[in-house]
Amino acid sequence: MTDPEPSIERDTYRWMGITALAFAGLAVGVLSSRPGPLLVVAVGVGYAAVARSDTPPEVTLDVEHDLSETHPEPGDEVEVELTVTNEGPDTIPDLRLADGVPDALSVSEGTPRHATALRPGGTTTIEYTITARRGRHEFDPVLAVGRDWIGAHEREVEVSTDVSIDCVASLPDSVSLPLRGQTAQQVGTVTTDTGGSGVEFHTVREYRPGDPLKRIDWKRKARTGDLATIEFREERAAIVVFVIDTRVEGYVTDENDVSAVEHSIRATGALAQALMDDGNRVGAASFGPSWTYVPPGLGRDHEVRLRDRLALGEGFSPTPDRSEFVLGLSLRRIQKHVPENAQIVFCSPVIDDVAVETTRRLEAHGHAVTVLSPDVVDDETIGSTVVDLEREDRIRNIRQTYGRVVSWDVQEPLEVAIESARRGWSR
Amino acid sequence: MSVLDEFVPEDDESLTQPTTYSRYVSLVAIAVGIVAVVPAMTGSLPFVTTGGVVLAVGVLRGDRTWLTRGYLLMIGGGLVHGAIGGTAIATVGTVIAATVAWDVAENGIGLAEQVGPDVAVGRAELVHAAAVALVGVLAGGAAIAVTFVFANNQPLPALVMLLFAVVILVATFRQG
Repeated sequence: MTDPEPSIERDTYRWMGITALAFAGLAVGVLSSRPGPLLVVAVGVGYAAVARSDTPPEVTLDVEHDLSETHPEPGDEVEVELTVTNEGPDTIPDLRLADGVPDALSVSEGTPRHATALRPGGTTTIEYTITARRGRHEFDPVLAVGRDWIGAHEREVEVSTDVSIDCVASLPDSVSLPLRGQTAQQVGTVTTDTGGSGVEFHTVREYRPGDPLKRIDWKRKARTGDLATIEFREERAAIVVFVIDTRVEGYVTDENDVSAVEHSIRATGALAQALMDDGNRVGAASFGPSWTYVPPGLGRDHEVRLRDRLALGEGFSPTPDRSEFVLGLSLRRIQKHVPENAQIVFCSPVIDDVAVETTRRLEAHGHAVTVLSPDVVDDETIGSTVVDLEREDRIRNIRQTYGRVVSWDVQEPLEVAIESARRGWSR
Repeated sequence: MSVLDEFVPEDDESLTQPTTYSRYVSLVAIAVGIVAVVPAMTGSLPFVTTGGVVLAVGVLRGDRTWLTRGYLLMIGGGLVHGAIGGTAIATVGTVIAATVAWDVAENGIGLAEQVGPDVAVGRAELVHAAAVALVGVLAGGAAIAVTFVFANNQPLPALVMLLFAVVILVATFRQG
């Protein structure tokens, strides 16, 4: 339903010069002593009087949205029907309406705008279709402008509604990401540098009483007579937190107008799925003015929670939060919430030096950082070519100084980018 | 796309053609304004016709500058028509028609800019056009009626003074 907002009343100045018509008629009539031009004075005076005396109509509206779907999947078409009823006492001869379509959604068919005349109690309907995108999208107020009979004055009101669309995508098909050695204590699939039980050979050490018989190196015993124990690389579970660059710079878009944040969130969904399948605990955090954090976890409930927060969390909004970003504050949030032994996958387009600095400081806090960088910048213009070159320079810098970077050309599958990057990684 | 849409130059994105009914109402009003002065065949015809053409181009291009120029020319032509002996009805008719043509087209451009040129807004357009035409016809009609009733008994200067007083009154209202 509706909450009427204060109205703004103003003159349109459309009839501002009409008095001149009266004076022109008067002048020509007096000079020519003919009645015709003098009667033109009456026409000018008539319009001027109506323009002066008319007042903008009361614009008291009831607006109601009817959506074909309030929880669509990304890409679904949602039909919107906006019904507007004139609840005021006046006829509105010229009512102009614009529905408050959320910024992130595009109208695929029809138009959210309309103009009509409405009698008291009269109703008009606007129908259009929008294409759903990930995120929570609240409709802005309906903007209505009512003009008087000859359009000399108008009254503008905004009518609020509480309609929203929640668009949550299923987690995409899982994609594996080789993790770094930082792990938790739980058994898992990440091969560590610590010797113990496992699969991959690590070292041979002197036998200590209590070592399992199956790990004794019997060949050495036969050859030298000494007892020795084979150590394998221990395999443990990891804690992985995806930190997504949601600063304004993270919303740089590709040629299809899809932002790096969108690519990062899709990649996070795919990688998190595979990591959780392998028994790792996975969380996510936004890295921008707004903060959304999903603590690392595991299991079906956690998967649903992660999916919902990635889709609807304020920090992962489909449109950028343009309030001030403070790097130190954002890093302190991560330091405070993210477990010390968690690996971080920092998803950022790396189009500015803050991304490099962030990587450095996260590493300095003791996290093993892997940078996943969606490459959304084309090189069709000189400006974008320069941005792309600078980005490649930063990527090279991070790779040489801190280690792992996956530079992902978003036109290619993520698996290809990871496999290509993996070849250049040492353990 | 209608034939009229072709008048909008594709390379000038700043121009928006008036909405459909406004275009047609405006063009009809221009025609009425020109036809009103044709029977007398006075020297005002070129002014009114030129003004009408300029106004029509403004309508078809969605160009407010041309609209205003055409409107002023038509009004000027109408006044000249009255001054050189044309009938009062034709003079007033041309002025009202020109005013309706200008206003409806200007309003149509505003509608097209605000809600889109292809949106069906006929009801708002026609209500506005009817209101503007009605005000003009009532004001002009009343003046003509008064003239017919009193013109033979009252000296012209008295009528002039009366109208002048009304103009001053309205101007005072506006300042207030």
